[in-house]
Amino acid sequence: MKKWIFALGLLLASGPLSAQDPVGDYGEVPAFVLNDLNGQAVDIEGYDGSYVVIHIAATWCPFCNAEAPYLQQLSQEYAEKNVKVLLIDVKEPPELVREKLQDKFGFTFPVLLDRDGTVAASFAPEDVLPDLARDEVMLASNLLVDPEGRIRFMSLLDSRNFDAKLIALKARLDELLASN
Amino acid sequence: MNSSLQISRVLLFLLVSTSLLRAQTRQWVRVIDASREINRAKAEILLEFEVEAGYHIQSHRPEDPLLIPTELIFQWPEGIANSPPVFPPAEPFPLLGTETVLQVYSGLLPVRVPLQIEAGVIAGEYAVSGILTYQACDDWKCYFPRELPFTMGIRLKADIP
Repeated sequence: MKKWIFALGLLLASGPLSAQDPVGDYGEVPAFVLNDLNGQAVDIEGYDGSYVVIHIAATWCPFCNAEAPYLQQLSQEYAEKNVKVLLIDVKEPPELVREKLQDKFGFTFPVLLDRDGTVAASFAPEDVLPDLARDEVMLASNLLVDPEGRIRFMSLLDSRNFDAKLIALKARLDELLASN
Repeated sequence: MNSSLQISRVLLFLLVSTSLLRAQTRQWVRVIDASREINRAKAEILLEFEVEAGYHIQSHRPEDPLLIPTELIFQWPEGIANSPPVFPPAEPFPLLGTETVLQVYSGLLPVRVPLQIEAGVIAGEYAVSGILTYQACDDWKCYFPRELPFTMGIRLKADIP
């Protein structure tokens, strides 16, 4: 109960979670294995030792599409700094995702298929979004996982203060990279 | 296990199950009104939907073909059909930091539906069903596309000689 009140207070005080969130550590990233568009299984544990940006998307999500070019830009800018990018598409067939996301935006990082939305839903912090319906996921959200597998940044969609250029995510990434 | 503990667990299960069911079927749009009487001379119905406060849905012709348009389909009695529904002008919804401007509906959404009625259709009461397809967002989330099924009764008025 105390945790819920704390989380609600946090939301009322500062809106969505962001790099400015005083906690800055959202726990261990849930374990998952998903297929990419080539049918290859991708295990998040295989990324231990690297920073990983995870973007949750669907082809019909306008905010996801607006962020897409900047996500590709980020993956190139930080490639030499041990930063990987993964996109998790939710509940869509591979042909559609290949055409409407990977090919359209020229993604050079793995696009993973979460066919039933289970993995994307597992990122939803229960104490932070008490009204998040369990069949929904945090579309247009970005997570940053550190080399130890802990989530160090989590942005929820905030369309009134939309950060298409991923400025907050990059600031947090720079901060963490500089502290190493 | 004592009976009060068993009852508590059953109640908790029912509460969680009901919440899950409600979450999965939650709608952000509802039908608030529909014209019931139809004249052959000016055959059309006016349907009024309401988008829940704080939410918006994509327009029926979003500029980005990837987006889910709002669509309205009907199942009419034999001899009645509709032309494409006439939606109101959409509202611009700029995405901050980008040049993208979404076209959305919020609040009241009146839709006019022109009809064609064959001569052999007799005056009287008819049941009509329809489905509104839409994709809603609020300031914090975009939700998976939904279908809102509805039924309504209409009355085809007799011709005035």
